Amino acid sequence: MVNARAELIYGLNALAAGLVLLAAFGMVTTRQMQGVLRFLIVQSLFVAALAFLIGFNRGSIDLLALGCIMIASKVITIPWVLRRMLPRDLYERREIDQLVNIPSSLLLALLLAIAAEFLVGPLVAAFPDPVVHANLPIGMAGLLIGAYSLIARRDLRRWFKER
Amino acid sequence: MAQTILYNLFQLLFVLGFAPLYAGVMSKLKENVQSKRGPSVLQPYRDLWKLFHKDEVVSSEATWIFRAAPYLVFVVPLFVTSLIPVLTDYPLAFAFMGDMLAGGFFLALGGFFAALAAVDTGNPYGPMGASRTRMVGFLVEPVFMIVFFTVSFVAQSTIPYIVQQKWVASPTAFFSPAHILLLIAFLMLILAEGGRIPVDNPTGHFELAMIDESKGLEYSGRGAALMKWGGQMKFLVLTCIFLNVLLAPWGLATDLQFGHILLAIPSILLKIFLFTLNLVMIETSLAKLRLFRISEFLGAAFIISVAAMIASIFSSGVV
Repeated sequence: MVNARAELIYGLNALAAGLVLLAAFGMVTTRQMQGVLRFLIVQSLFVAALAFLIGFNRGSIDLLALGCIMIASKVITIPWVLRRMLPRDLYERREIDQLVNIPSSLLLALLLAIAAEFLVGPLVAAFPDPVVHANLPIGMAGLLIGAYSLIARRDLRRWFKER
Repeated sequence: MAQTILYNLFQLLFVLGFAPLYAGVMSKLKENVQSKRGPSVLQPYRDLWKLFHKDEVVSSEATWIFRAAPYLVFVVPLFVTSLIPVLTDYPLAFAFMGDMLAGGFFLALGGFFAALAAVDTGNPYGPMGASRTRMVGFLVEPVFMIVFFTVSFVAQSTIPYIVQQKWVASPTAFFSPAHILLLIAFLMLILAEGGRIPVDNPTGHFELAMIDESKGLEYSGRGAALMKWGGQMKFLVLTCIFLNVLLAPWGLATDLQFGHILLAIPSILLKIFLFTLNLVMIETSLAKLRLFRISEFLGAAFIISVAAMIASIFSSGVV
């Protein structure tokens, strides 16, 4: 019985991790600011869900607190601040300028995801834990894809430069 | 043996009989969601009946390809039906004649001849639509391949009956990121292959914007009926693969009793109805993509399917 519960939690954990990766791909494909922000909120919700799942499973207060901080900051505060601070025309425009067009960005994102799997491969091999197995590569991929879209979005860089 | 062959033929009858109903229910629901009344769910049957009783007009420029294509388009989904689980949980007589790749190739064959036939008559709109269908087609095919290969990584087989038993073995397998990503990629494929809304508007009758519909523009009478019926069956077959093999292989008959197979029909129709509700939500909440955005839509499907493959390789510890 305990085993079945643990298996279900590992399953749900893997599901949430997969959806986090999917949201990262979604962010690369969307052109509108509003859409990117929505994907960010969804992704952060899934990350928080991951923290709650693992925290619940291991009985760790730290992780539960981390989940709460994640919701407070990335689901509520950061989207709110961004919505207030970014100029209106950036929201109203249908397409944000990008250095690389969308299909190529998607392929790049895919390569980054594969690279992430290889990069954390040795680390993952050191832990027999299935949670590490599922989450670490996806976390790394999310980090790399995020860094990539920071570089590729031209409008945002221009806006930051003007500040 | 004779019994399983009979059941296989029974599956064909199921697909033949219910494909127009599926199309009818879908268009009715879609109209209802958009607060319109919509045609009766039986309208596709009436359309087929009407078309079968009309005279056929064939352009004098047309060759044998134009005459043969409707029969191919009609027969190909039936071939695929005999390879996949529609009503039963266990492999039937013809199940091992071909795997999912064979099914994909069969459907591609139908599409190929339909595109050739559209070019055949010399109508300017035909080739335009045909080239667009081919564009969608060659973007869809790699995704199909990757989806099938991912499936074979997990299930060690590409025979749909075996795959279907592997997915629901444990919640870990069902909720694994590979499975979820694969489902999303396959759903996007169904939308593209069936000519549904983010890719193509199935109810649009404006020749310049058509993708899938343009293939049947030149047909009349029996040819038009066969093309229509074939298209509806193809969509039902794809839905059956999605639901019975990949998403929810429950409610199928598990033994050889004929009563259980009859009982499987309502449960499968219920599953298809629930799926249709989702499809209607997708169709009414999205707008049709611009032509050159389609490559992005299918590119995303490709990326998702490759991500599913990576996830399944790495999480199964093969590498």
